[in-house]
Amino acid sequence: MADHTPHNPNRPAEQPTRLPDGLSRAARIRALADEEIARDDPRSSEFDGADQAVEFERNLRNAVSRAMAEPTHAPAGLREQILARFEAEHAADDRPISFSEHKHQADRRSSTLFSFLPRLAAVAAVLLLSATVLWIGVQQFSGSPPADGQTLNIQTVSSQLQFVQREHNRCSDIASGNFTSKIVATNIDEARAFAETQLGCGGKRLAEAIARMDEIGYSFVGVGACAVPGGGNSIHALFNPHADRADSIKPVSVFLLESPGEGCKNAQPGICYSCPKAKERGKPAVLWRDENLIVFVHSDSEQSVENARTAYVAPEPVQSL
Amino acid sequence: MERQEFEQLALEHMDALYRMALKLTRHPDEASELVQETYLKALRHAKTFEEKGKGIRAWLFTILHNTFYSDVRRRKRSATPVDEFYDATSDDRIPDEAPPVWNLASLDWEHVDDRLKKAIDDLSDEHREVLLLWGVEGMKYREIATVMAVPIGTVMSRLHRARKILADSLEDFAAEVGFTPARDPSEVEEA
Repeated sequence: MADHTPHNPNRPAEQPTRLPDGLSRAARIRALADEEIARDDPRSSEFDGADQAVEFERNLRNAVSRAMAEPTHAPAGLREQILARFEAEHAADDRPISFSEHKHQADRRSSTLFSFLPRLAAVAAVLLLSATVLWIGVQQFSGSPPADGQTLNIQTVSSQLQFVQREHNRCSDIASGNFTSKIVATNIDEARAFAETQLGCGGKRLAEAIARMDEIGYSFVGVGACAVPGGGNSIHALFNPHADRADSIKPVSVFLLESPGEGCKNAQPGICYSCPKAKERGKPAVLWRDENLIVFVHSDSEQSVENARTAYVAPEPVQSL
Repeated sequence: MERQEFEQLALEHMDALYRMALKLTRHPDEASELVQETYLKALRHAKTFEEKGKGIRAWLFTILHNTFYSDVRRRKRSATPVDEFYDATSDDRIPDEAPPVWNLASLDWEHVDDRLKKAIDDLSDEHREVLLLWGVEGMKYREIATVMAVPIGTVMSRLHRARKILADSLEDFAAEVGFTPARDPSEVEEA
């Protein structure tokens, strides 16, 4: 089942997969049979006498390959169906609208609007009244007066920031293995592709941020799927200061959340939000909108948060939540 | 990447994608539709995907995986069996189970296919999927983790469980055909 994608000589050599810590001997023997670890692995003495086990696992893999190899070909006509859908997609993108068609659409919109206007005004008035009542109700329950320009649901954002802080604490201690078991990509190319498939966007900016972070003294540990609440898919990227850094900067986490829900959906583009209370506790965090994503940055070091903001070209100004 | 170049590169993997789609949907028409949806989504995101010398195959499998679990399975509104639910959500740790019967290494492997096919058919979607990516597509753990959007530990756990189930079925098969296994030197002698 060869992959015929072109070879890129500029792509860095594939790093060995970092397997989770604490694997049983059985799991390590299977990994050896799968060529995920090498016989000259530092703990190779545990593989003495395991030849029969490795042989069984490899025979099993071959047998699975035979058992699941069918069908070897897609049904006749599927390729043509796919190409037909490609053509339809391209035709929908490329089709120019004639002047008469454009005018027709514009006239329809105009006549529809004018005939609907009185009813529209009545509906708008009802909606405005309802929204006002709802706003007053929310403020009563929120316990604080609305600040100028405040559009985020503070309670939901707080829970998201708490999640981000807990997850950073859990994962930034590399020796714990918590982040290692989460990592899916460890280099720029993989990180970019992973972000695109998980989130549908954001891969390019993440890749650029990884490169800039390296320039200012942070190594990219990796990125993996996460579960930031209040939205769709999310990913977590972790950066560690370079080993030769003598200053006090600390690891920093960047979380990307797609399709934000009630918490951050009203985050305004062009504004970076900071959490003063988190900063007071020595756990600075910021967030901002990047198209359909919300970017959360957290570290135990204010300098690291600022560095990540710079690397990500986060918006200015910074506004307190 | 030019449109035609992308289409040509992507369509090279159509047979493999259909095979995966059929293993997941278990229905040829649904599999064909799933593959078409996969390619349509790939085309729509083609401009954001820059081929860097590897990855289009895993990328296409990822789209198919996401489409199946988000669209197809949700449309079917099938309830997730309880043990499958716990299996999918609590398998970040590799289970500390006894190893399979490795002394079956010299089994007559040429005649186990039907038994294995039956055992594989009885597996959950996630287990069948990980076996296909591992056994047929020859993917590494990291690649499988990318396709299935799970940690590498979860990939290993699902593979472990799937292989254990298959090994157990082979143990039954060996007993039925009167196969006498050799002693496994890796087993620890108990006092």
